[in-house]
Amino acid sequence: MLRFIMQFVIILATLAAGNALSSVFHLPIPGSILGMFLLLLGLLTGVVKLRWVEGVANSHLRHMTLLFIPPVVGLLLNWGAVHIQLWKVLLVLSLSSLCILLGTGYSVELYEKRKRRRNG
Amino acid sequence: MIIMFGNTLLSVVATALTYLFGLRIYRKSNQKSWLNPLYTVTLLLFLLLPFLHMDVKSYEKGSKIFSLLLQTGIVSLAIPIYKQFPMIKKNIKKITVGIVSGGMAGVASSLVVAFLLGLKGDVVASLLPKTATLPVALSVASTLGGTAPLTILFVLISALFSLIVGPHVLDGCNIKSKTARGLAMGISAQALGANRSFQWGEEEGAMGSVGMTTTAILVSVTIPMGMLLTAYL
Repeated sequence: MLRFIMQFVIILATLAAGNALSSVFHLPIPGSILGMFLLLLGLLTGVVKLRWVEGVANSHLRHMTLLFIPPVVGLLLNWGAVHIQLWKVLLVLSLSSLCILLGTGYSVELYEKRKRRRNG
Repeated sequence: MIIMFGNTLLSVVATALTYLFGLRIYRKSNQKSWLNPLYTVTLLLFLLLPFLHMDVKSYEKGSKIFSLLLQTGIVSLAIPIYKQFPMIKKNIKKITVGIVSGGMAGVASSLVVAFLLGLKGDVVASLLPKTATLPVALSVASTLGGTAPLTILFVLISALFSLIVGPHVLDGCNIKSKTARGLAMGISAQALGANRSFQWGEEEGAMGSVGMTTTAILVSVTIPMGMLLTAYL
């Protein structure tokens, strides 16, 4: 348990550092994402060891779903106050999902073909 | 003060207990995807809260603590990225080509269609980061002025859509490259897509999860930067 808390304190400290960076330099990137980069940098340079944070991070990520539930419940309870036209939103979402799938698929396939031709 | 504390305690305990219950059902059912705790627990809480004499406002206030945990969750994403780092480095060109063109196609098409349909600013702000994994999309949306519930709704809808339609689209368009298929699923449907591409094979699966993490990085950096740039112009 103590180990778990210590590991969480490391992650919390990284988050605090990220938030501080974001607000001191007025960066548009959220502090939590800067914190992620800081932790990644720490791991890559060996300042932070994987076993210091791995346990708590893994169980944290496994139960991420729990954290999305309160906002969705809030949305449901508040549905009357939400003024979105669902069909428009659905149209945007499905069209852009198709664009992402095709954009990624075709570009990578094309890239691999070209490379093969150059090498062969 | 005491009322506020009681509120927090009640919201947290109710949410956590319902979640544990939902997780049990999910695991007992051999992880059927429609029994995902996100659906069952949300529904249960929605039905349960009126009996606890909780209204929206007090529940939202009481569950504030979960948004702090969401932030530490984003920081925790560094661990899977670190583990995939050798793989990312080896395929960096392919991955960059894939996520940049896929991501740009996604953002551009959302912007154009949303503009044509006349959607409002906060809805668009919640739409744009939707291709990033949920926690990252949430924090980017909030810096853009989007709302959390809408962002979650949009991310979930598009992930589900891509999960169902994606494999058919890729087959229909004759996209055979393992990297292309894995990346496309990981970028468009995040964790769900990565999971799906593991069913195709090891290589597709690894590319799926790499696609998810690298897209999160790209979205979290470029969209706020882009907004800043347009604000200057």
